[in-house]
Parts: sequence; structure tokens; C-alpha cells
Amino acid sequence: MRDASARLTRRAFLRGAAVLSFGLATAPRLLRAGAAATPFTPSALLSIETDDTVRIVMPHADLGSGIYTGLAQVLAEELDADWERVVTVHLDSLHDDLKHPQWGVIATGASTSVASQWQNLRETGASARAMLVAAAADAWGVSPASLVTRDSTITDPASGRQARYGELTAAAARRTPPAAVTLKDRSQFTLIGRSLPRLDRHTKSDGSAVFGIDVQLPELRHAAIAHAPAFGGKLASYDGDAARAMPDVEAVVAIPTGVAVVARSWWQAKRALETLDIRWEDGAFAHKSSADLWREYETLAASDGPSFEQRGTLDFDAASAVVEGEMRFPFLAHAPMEPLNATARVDGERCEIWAGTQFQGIDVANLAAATGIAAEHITIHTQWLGGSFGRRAAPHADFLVEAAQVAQTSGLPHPVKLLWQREDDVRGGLYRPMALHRWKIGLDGDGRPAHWRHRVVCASISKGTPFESAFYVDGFDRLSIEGLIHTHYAGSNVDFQLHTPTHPVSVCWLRGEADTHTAPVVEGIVNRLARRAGADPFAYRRALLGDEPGTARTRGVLDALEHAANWAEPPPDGIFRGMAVHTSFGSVCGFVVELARRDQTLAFHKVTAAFDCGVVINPDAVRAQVASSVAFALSMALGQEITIEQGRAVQGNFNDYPVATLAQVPDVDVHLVDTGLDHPTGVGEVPVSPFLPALAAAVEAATGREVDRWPLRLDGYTIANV
Amino acid sequence: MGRKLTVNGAVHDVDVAGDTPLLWVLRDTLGLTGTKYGCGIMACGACTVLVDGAATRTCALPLDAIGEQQQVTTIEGLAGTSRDPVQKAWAELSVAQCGYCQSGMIMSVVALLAEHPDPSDAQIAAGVTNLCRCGTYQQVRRAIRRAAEATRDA
Repeated sequence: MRDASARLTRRAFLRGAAVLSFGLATAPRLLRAGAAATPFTPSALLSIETDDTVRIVMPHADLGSGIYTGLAQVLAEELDADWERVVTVHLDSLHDDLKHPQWGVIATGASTSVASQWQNLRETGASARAMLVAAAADAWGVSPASLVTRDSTITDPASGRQARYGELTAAAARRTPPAAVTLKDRSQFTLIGRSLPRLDRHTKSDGSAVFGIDVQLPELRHAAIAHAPAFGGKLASYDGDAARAMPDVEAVVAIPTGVAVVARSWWQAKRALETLDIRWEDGAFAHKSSADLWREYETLAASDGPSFEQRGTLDFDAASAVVEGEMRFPFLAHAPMEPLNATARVDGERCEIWAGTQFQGIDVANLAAATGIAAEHITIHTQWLGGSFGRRAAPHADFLVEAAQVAQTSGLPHPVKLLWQREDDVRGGLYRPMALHRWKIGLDGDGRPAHWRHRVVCASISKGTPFESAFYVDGFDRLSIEGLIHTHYAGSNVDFQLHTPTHPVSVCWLRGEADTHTAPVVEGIVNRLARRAGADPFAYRRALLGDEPGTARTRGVLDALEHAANWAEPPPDGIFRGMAVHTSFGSVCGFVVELARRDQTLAFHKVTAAFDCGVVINPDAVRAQVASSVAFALSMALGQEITIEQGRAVQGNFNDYPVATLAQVPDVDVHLVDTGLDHPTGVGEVPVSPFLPALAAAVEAATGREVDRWPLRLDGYTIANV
Repeated sequence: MGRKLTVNGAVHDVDVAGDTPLLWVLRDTLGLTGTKYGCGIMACGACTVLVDGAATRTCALPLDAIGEQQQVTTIEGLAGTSRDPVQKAWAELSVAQCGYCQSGMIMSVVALLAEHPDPSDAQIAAGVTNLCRCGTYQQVRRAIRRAAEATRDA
């Protein structure tokens, strides 16, 4: 039913991202080779030790979703490795083998880790297996094709001879990698598709996992920092004499983004920081508030902006009826549980960094630019990340650069761990952008959209960053409009416009990205149009989606969701339902939310999810991501927002920037849907966005009031779980 | 200025200012980094330890508030990987995602189960107010049930 021209064909989310390579020339480190007890290291990703340990270097950071386990499953599958001997290690080099296969740089993001490495890791495992098999075949004088591999053991069925991988490392290392490998058919998988326990389950249950904040080094010093309180502000002057006189304080330094104290303990650095007499120079933005920003956004939304998607001719006079609406979204801070930190040692011509980061390949370029140290003399030792949600993919590597600058400026020969206070993080910007959507839709006689004008007001995330050329497509930042552009719901007359205001409040990707506002808008519109047409929301969506191949996965998820949630059965008295489905990061996820209303209290009755993420590597891990995404989304719904007064963020900590609690977050009944895709697609961010409109629809059904802003304004209602 | 502090059964002489929060004494003075800093205002629970068995947030709790006879137990002081029933349940169900809040979460649950060996939903909700930004609460609830069963069966 959609008249999609070639220009409107949905583009791969990050097709342009190949230019991310950043022109960074790094000398690959030489792989160890040659010694008698040498491990077999066919790639920087993989090393098989003589004791049968299979060591896999993780090319991506695990922000918590469990990709270390998932990536290991993928490689170990084709290697036929003994899963009990698989260990994963953080990367600490920038070898080419570790680059994001699509982006050409070492980085983690956009829920691409497993999807992007799928082919690469399988080929790495299969190639290593072939070399081991060839080594055994040579030794035994048999054909490689006659040998069988399983659990890191090669067996010759004819003779019964066996060899462990660890016995063959030296021989395998002398072989040439095969020109081509045959990968397993899905029916042959023994590791992929199994809910194997996470490899990090013990160290993350006994306190021994080392996060960036936990790094211990000889002569380690600690730093705390003060940043300009107003966005756009800068340091005017400071008096550090009192702080310098305090015991254990070793340096007070100004760097471009603030003033830092270096001491022998972090608490002492923080206490000394509080004694500093700092004068900040506020910029022009210090007169601005959220109310001012919203007024500017409303003015923009009232007028035409440049069109990012346009076809047909809008004619609202020709419509049977016209609906209008708007929805607004606040700035959101990532607030990962581990406050931002990095440890830096800068001595002469070298810089070493210990940190949890998503962006090693990009960080190095930023660090080189900030310190003047050549990129090849900068090393990043990746640590566990105490959450990120995109914050540790900092386009300008802010917290790493600050650590390096503090270490460098202080002139101390020691490593310095710079730890931000929670308030530095919540008030520090790089927020999910605030956004205003305003729409006017003319309906046809069946109550379906026939003329759709839509205006988005949203600051650009990628403008002025190394990613601008990757994310700007046809003059528009896709990070503002993904999830709305090319929606299959729109009719034949469309004019979608984007206004891109600028302000000193810095913005960044946050778990779910633009879909965290486009999905609540698009799905919210469709839910209201269905209600207006007196149609069932599943049936109404199917009618809009038609039967074109591009909507097959969405239809598959709708079918599974409708069945799993027993939607055909009307809800009992007092239960109010809502649903939504959304495609993002290559995957499709839908929710049905059921709320029980008692007086003014809404309690979760049941939450059902259906999720198609292609080939599922680890079903339990995927289910956990869906359930935990609901918690993340619920925080957005129930109270999180960053507001601005006098150019400053009002909120500063978890007391005024609330995270949903165990008591508030419902269990989620997750159904994984296989619509036949032959590869994995995104997981970690996907379920956040569709939960929001499903919740909104249930709230609208229960309260009779339309949701037009986030977090929800419940007008006397409260949402509770237990 | 030194004073005694008993942590995980061991008596330490610590020589830090008495208004230093216990969290930073544990982390920076004693090197017990399993207990985490999350907010500094005792709002998130990442810094939870047991003080004489009671779940206690430590990021704004001065060292002076801890008596020399009191017993502080940190995540490192539980029985160790897979032996403590709560840690065991946590590992079996792969509860942790990023894992950062889980030390504090586990200590809260240890205290909860000591008080309520078979906790109701409401007792779990009231007793475990630690924040998890990843959103692991569903698995946390399951693991609490499993640990409670294991403790009762033991």
C-alpha cells in the first residue's frame, strides 16, 4: 500500500558509518609466534593455549548485556571448542582484527556487537579449526575431511586416535590459514541457541570483577574535578592555595573543562576540591531555562522546516477528518551506576589509560589530540563497565581526556584515577536530546492516514563530532529521526520535517536512541487512530502494513504477541490494555501492557513481549535484555527528566533523577519469535522503545487521558507494581 | 589517630579522618573494592555492607559511626564464589548484567533473608531498594526465591 521510491528505501542504520575509521594509523602489534610451547594465535581475537585454554579477546565492550558470553558462543561454535575451557579477555590493543567489521574502528554501539561480528567470529573459529585439523591430519597421514572435532578434541574415527587442541598449537601455528571455510548449518549448532550461563557470573557475584573505578596500580593517585556549572560556561579563575596546603593533596590543576585536585585518596581529593575558590564565567546560556527552550521548540514546530521524507501532496481539505497532536520528551541522563572515571599514566611520550569505555578506537584519536602524544604511544586497557547505555561512547572521550590531562598537567610520575561525582555525571550533559513532535494527519474514509505532516524538533547528536558524516544522510541527522523516517504506517501523502536547534547542552545517544521518542510518537499515533476508527489495534496495524515483504517480520511479531498475550479474549473488569510494536536496530519488538486500576492506582497486571532478533545466540540472555529494558524504559516513563534553570541542570543525583526500583518494575513474559532470518540482529537497546507506547496506551485506556509528554503526567494516578 | 575496624572478621588499624565515609575506608584504605560508589548520598545502595548483620549504606556514613566492636561484612566476606547461597543463586541465574550494583544488592538480600527466610513479595520490595540501572530486578526476584529455598533446604 506504500508507494516507496528508491530514495525512500529504508537504509541500513549505519551504512554510512564506514567513514568512522577516522584516519587512524595504528601499528598492529606483532602476535607472539615461534616458541616451542607457543599458543596458537591465528588472529588477535583468538589464542589457543597448550593447556587447552581457548582465549578469546573481546572486540567489543560488554556494557552488561552479556555479549562476552554471546560472542564467545559464536566463535567457539565454529571452532568446536570445549566450552568449559573458553575464557574471554578485555581488549587492550587496537589490532585491525578487533575493529568493528562494518565501522572499521574499534567501537561498541547501536546494538551491533553480535550482529556485526556474526560472520567474522564464525570465520575466525572455522579457520582456526581447519588449521588444527590440518595439523592433525598431517601428523596422522590421513585426510582432513576424515577427522571429527568436538569439545576441543580431534578424533580419527578410523583409527580411534585423538588429540587435544592444546597438543597441536605449535603445528597449527605453522599452517597457512585456509582461503575459504565452510560454516555450519544452523541444524549443526551445539552452542549457538543455548542458554549457557554467563561467563562473568561468578566474578560479578563475588565482588571480584574489576571495573574502571577498581583499578589498582602502584603509587596510584586519585583526582576529583569541578566542572563549570552552566552549560557553555568556563573557568575564569581559581585559588587553590588552601587545597594545596591540605594533607595528602599533591596537585591542583586547571584543564580546559575544569579544575581538579589530585590527592592520595579520592575522599581527600573531593574534600580539597570543596575548599577551592573557583570563579566561573557563565556564557549567554546561563539566562536560559527549560521553559525558554520549549518556547523555542514550539515556535519551530509551528512552522515548516526542511523535509526529510516527502511524497504525494498534502491536502487536508480532502480528508474525511483531521487529527493533530504533539508529544514532548525531556533531556535524559544515562546515569550508569558506576560514575565516570578513568585512570591515566602520562610519562613523557607515552599515555596509558585504564577505563571502561565503548570507544577505544575513537578514544585514542581524541587522547592523541588532547595530549599531543602520538596515537601509537597510547594504550587503553579496557575494564569492566559499570553500565554505560551510550555514555561511555563519548564522541570527544571527555572523561578519558580529562584523566589524561589531569595526569599530564599535574606533572606527577604516578598514575592518576579521575573519578567524577554522581552530580558531575547527571549535570554534565551528553543527554538524550529533548524533542518535540507535532503532527497533523488527514484520514481517509476508513480512518487511516492519508495525509501526514510531521515536524520533529531535536538537536543533532552527531553535528560537530567525528560521526557527523556517518550519520548525516541527505542533510539530516539520522540520530534525530530514526524510527519515524520510512514508517510503514504512513499513507501516500507525506511531509516529514526536521528542525535542528542548537544549544550548549550537549546531547548523545542513549539506550534506544531516537526510537525512544519516535516509537512513542508513531505507535501512540497509530493507537489513537485505531481507537478513533473503532478498530482493534492489531487489526488496524495489519491493515496499514499490508502484505509487502518489508513488513513480514513486524506482522510475525504481531501474530506472536497477539497470541501470547491472549489478546482475543477481552480483559476482565478493571484491567486496561495497551500494545505497541516497533522496529529498531534491525529487530522487531512488541509489547502488551495490562494495568489493573483500583481507584487512582495503576498496577501492572501482566506484561507480555514478543521479540524477533533473528538468530538467537543465548535465549536466556535475550529474555533478560527484554525484561531489563522494561525497567530502563519505566524510569523514563515514571520520573526521569533533566530540566534547565539558569543554564544549569537542575537534577543532580538519584534523589531527583529517579531510577525505577524493584518494587516498581514488573516481570515480563518474553516470547522469542523466529520469522526465518538467518543472522542475529540487535538486542540490548531494542525493547526500550516499544514498551513506552504500549504503557502509554494502557495508561490512556485506564485513565481516559492522552499522553502528550514524558515522563508521564498521571494527574493524580500512580503506577505501582507490588 | 589510628583506630580499630573489624572487617570480614579481621581487625585493621586504620589511620584516616573519622569523618571519612566507611565506603572509602573500605575501598581506598583496605583495598576492598567489591563495595561500590554510586551516588554519595546513600540513595542507590551500591555501597551496601552488613554492620552487625544489618544492611547498611556506607557512602555517607562516617567511620566514626562504626564502633570498634562492630562487625563489618563486605561482599568479599561472604563465603566466596558459589558457596554462599545468595551468591550461588546469583551465579546460577546469571543475574548480573553490568554487575556494578550487584555487590550491594547481594548484601541487602543476605540481610533480608536473615530476617525473612521466606520473604513475601512485599517484604522483598521493601527490603531490596537498591537501584539497578541495567534493570535486573526480575532476575533478582528469582534469585532471592532460589536462595531462600536453598537456605531452607540446607
